[in-house]
Amino acid sequence: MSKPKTHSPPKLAVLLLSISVAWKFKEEAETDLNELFQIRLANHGLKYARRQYWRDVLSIWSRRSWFEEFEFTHLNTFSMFKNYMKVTFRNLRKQKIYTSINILGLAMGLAFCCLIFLYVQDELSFDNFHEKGDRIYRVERVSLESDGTIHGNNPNNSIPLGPALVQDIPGISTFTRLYNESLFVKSDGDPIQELITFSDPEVTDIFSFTFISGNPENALSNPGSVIISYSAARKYFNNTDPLGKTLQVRLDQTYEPFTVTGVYLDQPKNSTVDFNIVLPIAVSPYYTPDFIDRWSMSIYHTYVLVNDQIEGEDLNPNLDDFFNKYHDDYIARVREQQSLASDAQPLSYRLNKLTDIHLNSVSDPMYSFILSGIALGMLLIACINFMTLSIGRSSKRSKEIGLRKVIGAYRHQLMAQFWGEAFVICFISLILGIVLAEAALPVFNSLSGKMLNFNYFDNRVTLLVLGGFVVFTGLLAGSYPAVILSGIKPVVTLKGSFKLNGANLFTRSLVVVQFALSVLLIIGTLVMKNQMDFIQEQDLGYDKEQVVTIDLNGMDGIKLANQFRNTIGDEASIVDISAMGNSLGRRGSYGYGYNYNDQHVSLNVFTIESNYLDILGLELVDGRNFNPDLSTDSLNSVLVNETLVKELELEDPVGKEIPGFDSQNHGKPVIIGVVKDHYFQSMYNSMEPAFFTINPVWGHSSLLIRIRPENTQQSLALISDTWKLLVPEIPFSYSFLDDELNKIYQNDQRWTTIINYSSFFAILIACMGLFGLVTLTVSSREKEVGIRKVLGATITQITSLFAKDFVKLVALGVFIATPIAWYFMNQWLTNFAYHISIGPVHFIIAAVLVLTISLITISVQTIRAGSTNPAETLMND
Amino acid sequence: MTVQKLGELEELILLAIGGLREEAYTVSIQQFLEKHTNRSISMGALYTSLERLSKKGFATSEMTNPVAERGGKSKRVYEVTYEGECALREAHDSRLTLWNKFQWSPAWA
Repeated sequence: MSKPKTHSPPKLAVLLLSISVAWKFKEEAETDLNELFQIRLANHGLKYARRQYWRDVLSIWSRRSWFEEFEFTHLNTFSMFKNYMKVTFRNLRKQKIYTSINILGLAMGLAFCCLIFLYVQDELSFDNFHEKGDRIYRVERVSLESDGTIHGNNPNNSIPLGPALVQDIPGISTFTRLYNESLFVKSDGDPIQELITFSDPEVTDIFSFTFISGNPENALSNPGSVIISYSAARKYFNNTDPLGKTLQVRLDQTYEPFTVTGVYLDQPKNSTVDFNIVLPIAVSPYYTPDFIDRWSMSIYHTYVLVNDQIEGEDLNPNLDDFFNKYHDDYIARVREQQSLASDAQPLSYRLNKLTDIHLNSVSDPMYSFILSGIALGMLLIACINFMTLSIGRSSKRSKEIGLRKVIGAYRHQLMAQFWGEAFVICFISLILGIVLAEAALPVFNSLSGKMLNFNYFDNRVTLLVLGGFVVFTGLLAGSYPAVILSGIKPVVTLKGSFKLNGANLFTRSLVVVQFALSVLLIIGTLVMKNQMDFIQEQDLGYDKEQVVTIDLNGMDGIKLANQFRNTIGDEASIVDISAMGNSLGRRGSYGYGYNYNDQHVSLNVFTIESNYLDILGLELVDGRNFNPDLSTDSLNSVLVNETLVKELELEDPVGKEIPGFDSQNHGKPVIIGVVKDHYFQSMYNSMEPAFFTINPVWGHSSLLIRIRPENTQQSLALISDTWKLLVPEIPFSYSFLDDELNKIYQNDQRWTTIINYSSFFAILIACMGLFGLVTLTVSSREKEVGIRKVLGATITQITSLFAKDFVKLVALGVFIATPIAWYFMNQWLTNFAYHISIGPVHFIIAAVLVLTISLITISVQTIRAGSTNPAETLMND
Repeated sequence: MTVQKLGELEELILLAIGGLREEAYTVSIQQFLEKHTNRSISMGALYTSLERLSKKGFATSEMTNPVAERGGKSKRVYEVTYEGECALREAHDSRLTLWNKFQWSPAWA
């Protein structure tokens, strides 16, 4: 037992024991545990002694009676606490207006925060559910600046890329190629169009699949196999086990059978790769001998699994070598064209981490930031309400504070009381806010295009954050009354001469901040709304109304268009029918690029039929349209748009060739006419050069049918019947061109609506606060009003006396918000190649709107004050 | 007077106090039980049981003079009261009766 005392018990445990304040065995326990520690140390060694020490401390802690401990320290804490609660609730009940303004405002702010939190959480947890997520990378072909930064990336790659990567690059162990296509699928019932993924069998090793039926190993190794998600299984096989059953998928115009070898649970919605039905890659289109070794074809996404301890960037030099090896001709040509050194790396492959893809490439994290900013702004406005109203009410509470101090309350106790009140209000608001958020969730989901829901108990983070909201809001909202009001001197308040110094200025600046925030949102709403209207009303240069578009799903466009024309072309309700090979409104759907005079020229290619100009109402500015009877027109002629003429600096273009253009399958076509510029892309892009050809080598992708505006339903029925007759194997599906075009702006449309809602609520909360503040001011100046009236003031004079003050504040808010709004909205507008300019009109409308709303809010109370009988207010003195 | 029950752990602790006599304080009780019953009782459990035994009146405690081996601190020495001994005897007797009636299974003999 006489071992030297070199070891001591674990420090943290000692600390834990020492902070159990009032336990009556405390001192004893400290000595006891020390003694035991030494005994155990001598008998069993340090590790055992420490472990046992911890166990003892924890066992003491877990058995502590908290109640007893409170009673030991502060005998009256509990009853004081009861008193605080009582006073809090009395105050809340006595001043119903302020209570409801505070609670409603905070509840709305918190509801916003909850919704935005869900949104942001969903964004941040994108793709997080894959167990090997930090090792999964998508291979992208990138163009690089001379300093190695990426300025363009393309995830679409060739078939041989994956196998070559695994073979050549040591850190990469597995790959899978993915290709998505919308195809028709059926089991027993009608075919349904589904998103199909074609993939290598390794997909189940790389991504996380939870199989509920079948064996994940080798599930896809047989080319006749298919694995499907649980929801797909329910859709096609009801409640029976689909394992071994057959699913028919329409590949290359015929339905082919696939045997179900596995069913997995649906993966979370916030995923970059969406596995609905997975087929083996061997049956995918373009997986043909022509393409298997071809490096220049790019439609497959390649995902690789990188070995542990390797970061994607570590492999960059290897990838450069790899690129130079397999694309030696290509990169040599590019270097020559751009006159770069022979070791320059203008192009290469790069690995993009799966968990980074969504926020870096798909969704702008800016959106999350802006949304969080808006939510916090709303919460701030609500907190300011709370603060200004408590300051306004402080004269009423000051007597209570004075009395408490006289009786012996410490300042920290008063602070605790006021912060406690704030927390109670926040807590009530949070509950109300959650109810509001739950009610608004369906609307918010449709606005944000997500499937969010509150998982209070599955998701501990949600609970934590909700708690965090209460703490944050409570601390912020209660800070002013807690810090300032608790410091007032009892003598002053009890003598009745209490006045808060500087409170007026503080309140005023808070009101200014509130209205500045509201104005910011309102200007945002106005500008966004204007821009979206501008887009909708912009003359596209073609007639987008009453045009039905039908996807060809790989069928021969000209043949089908002819069949349609022969069957229903003469019907009165059908104006015209035409096949085309590009989609209007989408960027770069189909193009051809080449180099000419050291410049890269990329042209949009439109495969059309000769009636295309008529069906869309396009104008020719020069030359002539195609003549279907001239065989040279089909093979060798093109129409071009004005931008092409301008960009390639053609003079008198008709009869000339497109300079530098020499395509393998189209030769050197001659320009026979110039089409007036029209916005065939979206408003995000500026006008680009394009040419139109009736040479079918470029292929067709959709069928356009213009119908008469009358009896739309009948016309659609006619088209549908004809379709069923001509193409019985594919269900008829169509869309209207103008709807398709609107979809492009869906994202910004959503933003407009979200900002719209938030500005409405922001101004609502701010006005509620203003209303409360005016009410307070008016009631504290009742006597002054009485005397003024006795001396002859009119109602108008008295109303303006009060209004002037507040209107000044609101105006200052407008003034502050203007440059900030101008800056942010200009940033947003740069997204569009064609946009409105922000003018003074926006600011004037916003200012007038806010001033009017606040004036109305103010006038309710001030007019009441002005019209009261002075006898009533002066009677008591 | 309500009949106070003696819990199983309490019984063991009371027995330990009786076994240790003058040396019966927390650490020694813990070590004693560990040595003889092969049961390592946590100090938290020990304090609560001792507190409960005192409340039931089965054990009393008093502080000794400061002792050197505890760094100059005194220790609380426990003693079994008359009621404690009665409760122990009662427990022992009823156990004994039950033991005598117990029939060992020949299968495990």
